[in-house]
Amino acid sequence: MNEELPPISDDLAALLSKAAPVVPPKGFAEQAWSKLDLAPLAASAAATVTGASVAKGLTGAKLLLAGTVAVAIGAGGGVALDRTVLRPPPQVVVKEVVKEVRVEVPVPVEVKVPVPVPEPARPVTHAPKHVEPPKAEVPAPPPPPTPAELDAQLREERALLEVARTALSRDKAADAVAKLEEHQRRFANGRLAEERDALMVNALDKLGRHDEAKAKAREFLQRYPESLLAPQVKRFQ
Amino acid sequence: MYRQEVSSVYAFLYRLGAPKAELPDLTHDVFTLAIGKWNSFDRARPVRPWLMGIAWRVASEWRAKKKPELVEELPEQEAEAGPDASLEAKDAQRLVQRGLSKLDETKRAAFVLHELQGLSVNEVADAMAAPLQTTYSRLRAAREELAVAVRRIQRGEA
Repeated sequence: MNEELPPISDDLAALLSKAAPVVPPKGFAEQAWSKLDLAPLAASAAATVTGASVAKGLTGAKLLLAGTVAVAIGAGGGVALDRTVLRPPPQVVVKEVVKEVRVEVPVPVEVKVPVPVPEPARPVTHAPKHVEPPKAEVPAPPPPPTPAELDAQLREERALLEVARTALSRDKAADAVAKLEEHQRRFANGRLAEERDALMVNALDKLGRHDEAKAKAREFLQRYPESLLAPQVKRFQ
Repeated sequence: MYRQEVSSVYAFLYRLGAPKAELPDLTHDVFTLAIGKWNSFDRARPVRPWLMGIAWRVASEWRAKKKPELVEELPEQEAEAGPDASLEAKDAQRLVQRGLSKLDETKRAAFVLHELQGLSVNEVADAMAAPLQTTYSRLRAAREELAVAVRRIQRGEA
């Protein structure tokens, strides 16, 4: 269909080929990333984690079944962001679920495995014959936070980190550390925990607590080896 | 996905004339929306056109919220080129940007997506939620108008 367009003029073509590409300034990607709310993807990742955990509790054909489920969920969840530090799900009762999965091997027919995910997995085609649903005595997981609750928490997290970041930029490292510690207390596994930990390294170093900064940097890099913030944290090792 | 596409989103928004100060927030908005819609995105399709469609809507909403006079008063922005870009390449980029600023929004977006971001005409039409023929018309007009605008700038008439 491109033939419906007249050819671009030589002058314009030459200008476009000569023009430098537009590139974001250094650090832009990290800055924009640190402000993202990854909750929806975390939920998808949680589904994958749950499936994998179920697999750990099974053997043989059961393992194959659970693996299939995990892969199906993973494909459905589609965590394509190149990052491995999504927070764990707030409620996953894996052991109880595993206990209730009964598998008769190896007849492949339809079955639904009770993996607690927000969206149903794709149909499992190579599954054993019959699986009973979980028994009622398994305590129900607490209800997941509503989107409004998640938003409110994220806003609070962001506000704390913004104050810390501002304090840091004004050479008030002690204030920054205090805010970061507050974030640690209130949102130990919050969605911005990764950014908090990176800021803490920086703040401690500015405060002259170099050994602590180094230790925190090492912890950070162990915990978030693929983090976009890793390069800046490495400087403090 | 983020690492691969963040530069494209940034460049698209910049080419549409978003001020530098707004680019982090606008880029953030694009990816926030993308993350929210990710589970409903058909992953058999390429990501970039889908993402550019989101970016187009974010940019359109941003412009709609701004007072018209404020948008008109936006200063000419310095080119955002990599540190290795030659002076000539930066000048060319600046000239393209100035020329683009003479186009209306829809022609400008269609041109950027097709000529600079490499989307097919069909993908541009999808991204901008516009009929295919309209997209062709916009692209034809954008090419002509940009060529004229660049010549006028080079002659010091604009």
